[in-house]
Amino acid sequence: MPNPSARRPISLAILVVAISTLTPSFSYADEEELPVLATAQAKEDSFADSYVEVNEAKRADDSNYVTITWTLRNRGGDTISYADFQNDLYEYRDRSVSAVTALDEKEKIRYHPLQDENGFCICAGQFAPGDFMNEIKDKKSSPYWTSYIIPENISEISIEVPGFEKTPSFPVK
Amino acid sequence: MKRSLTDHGGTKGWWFYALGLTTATLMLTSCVSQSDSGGDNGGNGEGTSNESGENSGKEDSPIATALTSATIHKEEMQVDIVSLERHQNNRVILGMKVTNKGDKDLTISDMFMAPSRNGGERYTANGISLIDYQNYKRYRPLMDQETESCLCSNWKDTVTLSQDDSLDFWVAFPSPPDSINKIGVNTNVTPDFIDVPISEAESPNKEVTEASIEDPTILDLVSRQDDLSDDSSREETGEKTSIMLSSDVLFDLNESKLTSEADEKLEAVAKEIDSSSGTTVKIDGYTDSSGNDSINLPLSEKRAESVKKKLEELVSREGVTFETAGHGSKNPVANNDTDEGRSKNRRVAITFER
Repeated sequence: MPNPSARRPISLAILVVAISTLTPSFSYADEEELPVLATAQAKEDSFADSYVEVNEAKRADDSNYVTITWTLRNRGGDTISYADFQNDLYEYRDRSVSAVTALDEKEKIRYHPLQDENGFCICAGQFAPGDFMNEIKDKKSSPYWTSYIIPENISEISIEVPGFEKTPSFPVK
Repeated sequence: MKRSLTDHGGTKGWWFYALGLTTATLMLTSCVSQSDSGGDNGGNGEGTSNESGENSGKEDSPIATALTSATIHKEEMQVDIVSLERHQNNRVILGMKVTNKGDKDLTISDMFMAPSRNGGERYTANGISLIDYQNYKRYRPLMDQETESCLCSNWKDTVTLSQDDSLDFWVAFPSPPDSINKIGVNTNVTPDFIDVPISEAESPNKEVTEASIEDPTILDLVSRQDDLSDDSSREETGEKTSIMLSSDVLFDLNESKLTSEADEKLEAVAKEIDSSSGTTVKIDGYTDSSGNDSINLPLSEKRAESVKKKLEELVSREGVTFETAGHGSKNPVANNDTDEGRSKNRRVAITFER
């Protein structure tokens, strides 16, 4: 039976390390601890068992502005590039994830990501610096986001990433 | 620890104002520091973001922290907004801090720059913008007339941040209207920060307020939405609404006489015009790119006229005038290479001030 007092320096050391780092230590594996509001499975064969998770849907106070953060997890699929999710209906002058739309299923309205008058998307990928997650290999994941104008009276929405099912609706707060 | 996208500091205590002051004195430079460098930063204000250093209590209290990042570092790249202050001469200064919490080197040189074709400058954050969602505007950084660079800090040759390194930097923007006291902040790599509070600067920053600047770049934001039940679409900016009704619903093929279904759609549009502020309503007819403009042009013109006649009957607000034009296949709103896109392009657009 170990002497309890002998443990103290160890616990102290752990405490010091914990305090000095101050933030969670995430591994490089696919282990983020973001919340999950909704999930949608892939429907295209090349994505295999990949899926999309919605992590956060925030509305700015007294506004129509909504930012949705979502994570794409590759599970057994071909390498997925963010640039595969460009809007092919409306023109966006970048390689952003502009094809990811928000859906109000009740009103049957599809919202496309906001863009500026020069055609740049207010979403991930308007510019991809060197460390950007350009590609998601099997067993890897990346968070991305898209911003929309969605009327204030709408409190639930779903998103659709091309090649994946629509997510179930989730609350916008 | 779960982080919130807009993890505001809550009630503004003394530290908030102290932070404002500290930040103001630090504004003139961007700087890299290491958390393991001890408390030897001296009094020059350049060794800011040292977790174990003297300033740690204040500097570690950001007003917002990004939930995550779309980089290989994910949450291990911590992106904070340290301050957003309204200065004289219609300028606001955004103070930010990025910290590498992981053991992989973080390439910072291009992380926050605009795309090259949009004036991108390495070692600066000229790709960051403010999003005024009340007025549907995007503010790009101010440009210094003398240096022709952004009015923002430059971290020169710092290419990477090693583990525990952090970098403080600032960017100056045109001031949003006085009525705006919270705003969005958009970067290349983080979900948008929303409702970031704008505070009044405690001390002036002459380098920024007295710099000669080029005309500010304030861009309209454009929102598009599709009604899946009737194939109509809507485009909104801060000033205008454009309702695009599908010609396939309004008219029979090659006809310019309205269908019975059109009445119902136009009644809804008329109600919206009645409750808007605009006095001029523009009605523009378009076709897709198939066929010949010698047919498409007059057809789109006649169709716009038909819509005008109906709206004149339906709109009850006084003093509204209507202007029509036919454009044939010009100005497609969507991609003419797909059926869905061509269908979107066959439209009559009704545009009015909100």
